[in-house]
Amino acid sequence: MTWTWPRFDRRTALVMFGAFLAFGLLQGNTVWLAMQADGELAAWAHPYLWEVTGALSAFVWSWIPCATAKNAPRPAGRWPRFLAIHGAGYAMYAVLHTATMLGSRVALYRGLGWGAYGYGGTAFRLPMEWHKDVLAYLLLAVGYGLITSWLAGQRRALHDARIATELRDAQLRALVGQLNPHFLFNALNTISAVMYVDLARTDRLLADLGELLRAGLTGDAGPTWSLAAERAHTEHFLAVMLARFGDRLSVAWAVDADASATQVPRFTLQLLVENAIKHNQDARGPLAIAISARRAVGRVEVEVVDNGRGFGASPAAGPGTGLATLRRALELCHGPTTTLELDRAPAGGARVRLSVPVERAA
Amino acid sequence: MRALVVDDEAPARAKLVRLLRDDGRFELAGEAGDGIAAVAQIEAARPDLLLLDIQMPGLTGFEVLRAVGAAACPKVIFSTAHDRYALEAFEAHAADYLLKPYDADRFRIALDKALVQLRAGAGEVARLEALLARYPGSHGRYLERLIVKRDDGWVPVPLDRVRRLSAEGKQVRVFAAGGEHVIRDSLGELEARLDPARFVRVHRGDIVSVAAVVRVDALFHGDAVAELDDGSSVVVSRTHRDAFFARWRGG
Repeated sequence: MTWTWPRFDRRTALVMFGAFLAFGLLQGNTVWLAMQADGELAAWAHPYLWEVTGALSAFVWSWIPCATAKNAPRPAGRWPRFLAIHGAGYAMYAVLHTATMLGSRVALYRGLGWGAYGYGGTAFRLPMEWHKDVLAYLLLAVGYGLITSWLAGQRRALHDARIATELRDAQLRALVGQLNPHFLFNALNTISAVMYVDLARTDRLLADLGELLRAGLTGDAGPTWSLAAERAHTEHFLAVMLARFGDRLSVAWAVDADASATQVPRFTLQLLVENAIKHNQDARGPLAIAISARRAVGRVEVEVVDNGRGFGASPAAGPGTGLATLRRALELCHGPTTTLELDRAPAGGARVRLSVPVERAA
Repeated sequence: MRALVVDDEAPARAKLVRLLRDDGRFELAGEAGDGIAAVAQIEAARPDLLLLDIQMPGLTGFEVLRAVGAAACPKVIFSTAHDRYALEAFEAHAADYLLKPYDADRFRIALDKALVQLRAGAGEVARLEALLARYPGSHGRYLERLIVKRDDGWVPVPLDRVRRLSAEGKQVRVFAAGGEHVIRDSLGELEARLDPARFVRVHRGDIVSVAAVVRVDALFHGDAVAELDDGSSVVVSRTHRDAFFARWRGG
């Protein structure tokens, strides 16, 4: 495990400085009152100088317990490491704190013309300071741990809320794409033609269209579903497309059984297939689309390949919002290990490859 | 009276053919499944009426009409499922159109109108020209490609392959990456349909692609010479110079 240093911004450092100073002044008050009660009439400023130098010396070295707490927040089954880090951290903190405190007091006494600073018997005073430092060290380390974990929780909650919003947004956009008016009106026109020649086929097409609309209108469904469900959905879409285009369109599926349960964002395949058709609709040759999914180690790799003109040359090229939305949805649902690659298929058409982890990220 | 049915989707053609047959006032002159076949059939069969889809392989419906030329066009009833730009053009020029899906009644109304106009022998050339000028493409306000005639038929030339357009009498010569072509159009009308961010007039007789200009040298009298990426050069006249530089630097 690598060692990382805690980072403090200017504001945090100022707040901490203020807190230590206030603590020092408060302690100064306490000692002064105690001295008054005991009838010790030493110069009133002395207890304040002692306590403020003590508190500010603690402030100067407070990064030590913060750093050890950051790197060894809990034993986690490695007690020797935990104890070694905190033992060394405490020793360093106690020695440096005491030295700074005594050094600054000696210097200030001299500077203010108060004469020599009388510390008393160091054989008792130093252990006393180090006892107090045990408490200070523990307070700082535990406080640092609590505050940082609270802040991290806040950040996580914020991140989760943002993801939820973006997912809803992405779903909404997918829904809009789902109800592409051009597709819908052409589908209706196809059905109005087919019904005069083949009622059974009309029935099937209406059922396909119904399923497509249902999938788009089910607002409370999650943002992902299984690859098998996505395939079923895309097959409804393709049934309508095949009725419209006949021989000019052919589709081949090769989805491995052990890849079918993988979660994918809704409408992933539909979007890719729709893109393939849209960007080759003005070509006269037949369009062949091959959709495959296979299991790799810990991942599922999905590929959609066509024999069309490939990327970059379509007269129907838009701002690429469909693919951008898909990329975002993949990232949100599966985290950054998802990849979405666009390139030219060996046979010359467009190829889209996406790879998603099998375990769905929380 | 004879009608030609043009649509890239077989069920849509079958529907039009059936409706025509049921109505009985028009004979079927033929069917075409893409824009290029449509142009060939219009020129060969000379139908009185065209039932024309807009989004098709090869050439779009509007490109079919441009290729045939407004003067030689039959009466047209457009059909489309959803095309905002086309609808704007139709509305502006009172062209008749069928919105998919449509029923037999709506189809009959369109045929009624077409027959009235065909019997009156009303010339539609000006209206069709205005319609074509207003509708450059289904994806935006500007043309995406030009339709040129080659020995083997009409082909689209994407505008990103075009370097320069030069007036040549009543025609325009197109200098493209794939070779030179001549199209029946005026430079002024063409200019109105080109994206001004990509194509800019440099002279009374020349429009160049901003992306193709690699170097510009000043001449006397405020004129300049623009060198294109194929090594050719074209004069930038004083009157067009400022507008040209604004685009060239901006791009």
